[in-house]
Amino acid sequence: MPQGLSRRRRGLIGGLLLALPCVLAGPDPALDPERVARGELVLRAAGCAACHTDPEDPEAFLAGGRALETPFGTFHAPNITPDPEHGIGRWRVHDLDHALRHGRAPDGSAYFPVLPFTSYTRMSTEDLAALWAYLVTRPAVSRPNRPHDLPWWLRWRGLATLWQWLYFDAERFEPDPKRDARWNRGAYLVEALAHCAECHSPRTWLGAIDEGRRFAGTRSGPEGKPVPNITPDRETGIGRWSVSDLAYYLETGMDPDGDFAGGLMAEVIDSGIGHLPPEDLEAIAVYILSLPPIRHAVDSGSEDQRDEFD
Amino acid sequence: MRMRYIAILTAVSGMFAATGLPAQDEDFDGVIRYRQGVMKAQAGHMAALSQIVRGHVPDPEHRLAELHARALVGLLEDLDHWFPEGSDFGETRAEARIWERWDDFHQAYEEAEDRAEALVKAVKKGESKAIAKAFKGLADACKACHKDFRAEEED
Repeated sequence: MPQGLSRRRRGLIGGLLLALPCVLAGPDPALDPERVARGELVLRAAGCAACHTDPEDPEAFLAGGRALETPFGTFHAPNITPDPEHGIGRWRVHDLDHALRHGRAPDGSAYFPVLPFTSYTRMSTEDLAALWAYLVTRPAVSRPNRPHDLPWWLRWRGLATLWQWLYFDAERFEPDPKRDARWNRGAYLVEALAHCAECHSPRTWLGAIDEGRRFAGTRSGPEGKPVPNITPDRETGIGRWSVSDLAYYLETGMDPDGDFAGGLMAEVIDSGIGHLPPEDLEAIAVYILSLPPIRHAVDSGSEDQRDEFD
Repeated sequence: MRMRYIAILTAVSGMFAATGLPAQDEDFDGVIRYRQGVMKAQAGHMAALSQIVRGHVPDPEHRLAELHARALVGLLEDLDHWFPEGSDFGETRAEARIWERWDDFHQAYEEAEDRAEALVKAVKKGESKAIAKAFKGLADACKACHKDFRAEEED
């Protein structure tokens, strides 16, 4: 047997031996298709795509681009595709955990609460792992991020650290044993993933949710637009809606009067919660309609309006 | 004398024409209210249909569904005619984008018309699943157009 061939064989065997652990291990269990599918539902429920996809360029899915105008400046949602340069290609699952459940960037600096980690902190570990599996199996889009357009005094991340020290504690979702499984599923979806309160509540002058009017709407939500009161107050909220009305609205965008959601809510439905299974939408509706009703009119000209800092 | 009379009349009407806007605004007011009325009528039919489609209202022979679906076809026909250029001022949520992207707007309307007609066809065939699907299709068309071309309240 010629020497050369033997060497080649040896190389081949060596290569096979090296590859063996991978073959034995099979595909990465962290990325199995079932987990990826669950991750997509988490992403839809959490409304990631509504902010992290440019509405003018929906093909560049999750590649960032939507500008979110807030009273504190304009934030440009970054690229969260697995692109190593502009996206999260160099992240590990614990970086996603730090970002979503602890409000921290991979370098340890604090995020501003425009990323709703204040809600995502309640996300379960299983859902976080599933979301990770979904995100890293998306096609990478090499689209550069736009820097946020903030006043000079906000460009210092130390302020975000201070904000978190004042208003943020990492926590987990705790189901209420006195309520049934559907209510608890709704509570988890609303409070941990869908982060409804982040837009549907007035904020204090320091940008924290006004807890006394959580879910009671605001006159100046994202992009300076009014956001309706979604507590079940009959006059100023959605107290006249049934569970079926609300679930149907979240699926189709059509309210009980036959009118349609517009703006950011249409986006949230189209790219997010509209994809959830009917039982999840019903659970959200059950939870929302069980909230304490708060009288708070957000449309201008109403006499019920209380002063808002926003 | 008659010539002078005409000259004065021309000058005076010219002055009004130069300011022009009040008369035009008034015209648009009517048009804006008309189209808003039509939209509300459409919303009423959609709201009624949604109760039928969700099985909350018995309609075994689909007579009610057909009534609403036919009304929607009629109300959608040529509705974009009632969006004359410049009618985005006043009490309206119509976005200026309508006229900047008129072809898209017109196409969106035609799409809604087609889907309303598809709904009538589905209703005539009488298969509940197909009716629900066609209704969802029409609802999606309404939503898409509102998302692109209607301002949110109190813009």
